[in-house]
Amino acid sequence: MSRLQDIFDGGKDIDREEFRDEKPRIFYEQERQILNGMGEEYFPPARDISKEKEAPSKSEDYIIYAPSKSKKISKEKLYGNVQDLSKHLFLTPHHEDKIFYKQNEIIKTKNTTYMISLESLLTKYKFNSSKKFISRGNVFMGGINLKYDQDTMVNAGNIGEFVLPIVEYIHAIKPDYVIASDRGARLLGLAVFELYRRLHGKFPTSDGTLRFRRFSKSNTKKETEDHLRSLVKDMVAVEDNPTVLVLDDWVCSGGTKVLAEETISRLARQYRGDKVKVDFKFGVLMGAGGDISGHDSKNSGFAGTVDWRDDSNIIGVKYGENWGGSDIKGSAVRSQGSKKYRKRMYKGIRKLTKKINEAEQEKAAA
Amino acid sequence: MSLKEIIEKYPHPIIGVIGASTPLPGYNPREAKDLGYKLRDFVEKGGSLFTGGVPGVGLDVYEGIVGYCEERGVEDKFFVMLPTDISPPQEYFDLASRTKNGKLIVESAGKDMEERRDYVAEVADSLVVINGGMGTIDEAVKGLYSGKEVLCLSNSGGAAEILSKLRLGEIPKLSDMDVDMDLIKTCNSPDEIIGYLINNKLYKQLRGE
Repeated sequence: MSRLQDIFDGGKDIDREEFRDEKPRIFYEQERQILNGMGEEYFPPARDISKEKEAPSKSEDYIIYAPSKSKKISKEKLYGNVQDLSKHLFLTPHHEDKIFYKQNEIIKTKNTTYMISLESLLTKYKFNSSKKFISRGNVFMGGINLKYDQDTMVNAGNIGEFVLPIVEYIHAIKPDYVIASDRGARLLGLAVFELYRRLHGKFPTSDGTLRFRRFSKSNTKKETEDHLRSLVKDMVAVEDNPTVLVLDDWVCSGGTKVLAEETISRLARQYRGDKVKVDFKFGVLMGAGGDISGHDSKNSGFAGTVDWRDDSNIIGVKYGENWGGSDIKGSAVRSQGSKKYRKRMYKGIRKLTKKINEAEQEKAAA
Repeated sequence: MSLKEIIEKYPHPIIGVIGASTPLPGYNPREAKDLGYKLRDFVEKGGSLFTGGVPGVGLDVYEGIVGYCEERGVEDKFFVMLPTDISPPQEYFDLASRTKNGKLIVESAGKDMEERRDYVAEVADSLVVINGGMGTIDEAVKGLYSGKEVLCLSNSGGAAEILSKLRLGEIPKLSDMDVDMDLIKTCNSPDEIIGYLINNKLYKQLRGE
């Protein structure tokens, strides 16, 4: 008998009011614990109704939800089941050796539902840093999302800490290509590349580069295709089924994701036929504070108030002559602002690397 | 919003459609849209639909739902569940504007995507799986442990295919997976899913038929 049948007493007619008035079976605190994964058991055992009658009668003390016949199961068991089943995802013909190897490698280190957790990515880094910056978000099959609160502030000095999870993610999956969405992710891409170089050496892409490309709905489909054509040609020439990581600084609509996926896949098929499969991953900053704008209101108190979102003078590249221009090809903006920003950013990354290396040495000495 | 509030807010059966935001091979968006259309037709007599509010499968299904609503001039009977502070893609809002209700209903469910998956498993009376990755498997397994029926579009690849194979014994049952395998329903087409829902006594009861 299914749970719903159970809930509604087999084939008995349903009485909505009866359903609503059913005795509460779970307290708010328990629900919170379940959802936070704090409870020892993932789902608590059924409650003793007689004890609930003695509980405080204030309605706000109760949370009633669909009466549950949930099985008693530990988090470890649940995650184990999910992992065991997920392994089959990578055993299809489309996901042969390379992907399976990568994922399997990652699975060994993970300890959450996800392929890898941000925490596991960053476990080796014990340097003194705000967890607020580096451990929010998640890693999943489609890539890595970093999520920030409204009061999160990113500037040239601390951007290294923000991109550290992305750097470690790249180190873990070793994509064949990394493309940063221009302009928004220009500085993000530069920071990722520099921090990777300092921590791990050569960038792991097939040609050791990180590419910048513009994905914008303000450009026509043909413009975007022409813009990406030579890059995709290179991709499929080197790899039959390349893994491509697209970095973006701010996802609000998913438009960049769809545009990048559709255009690159279409071009790849043009060059290599229908069998080619591009494995896309996305590395994005998201959430209310995911906008790493550096606007004054968000950056007060930081060493250098910056604003590099949509400011070509800081980002160092522009598309068209006007603000918000829609040309597909960028041109460099060699302004004092962009130079200063880069200097501060690289200085911050050097400091971060030094801090990490010192912590590593201390750990080794201990 | 609490589980209780969400569960009580919407007419039952509440059917959740789960799948990948970046679908794996085997996925056919047209089939997802077709299923969305037909599910919306199914809940016309009673019930609600939801997705996880991310791109990919969920968006395609909603497009099908909106297609139905546009044809009939009706409301979508639909909501998305996302963690607090995360918004669905703009495409959802654009699609919702084409329905009679005109607005997308977004239920705040949990503080992160993992917590949201707990909500998905608990809120749904049954889950429909199309394609899907590891997150989808997680939602489906949680649903199974909660005693929810999981209807898989078997030929859509990814998680749906794996769960179907598990049900059919093509993948060995996990020794420590203590769930009722009969809760997994393997369906080869959207029509088969709808057929199951229409003819099942349980859903008839939930809709007061």
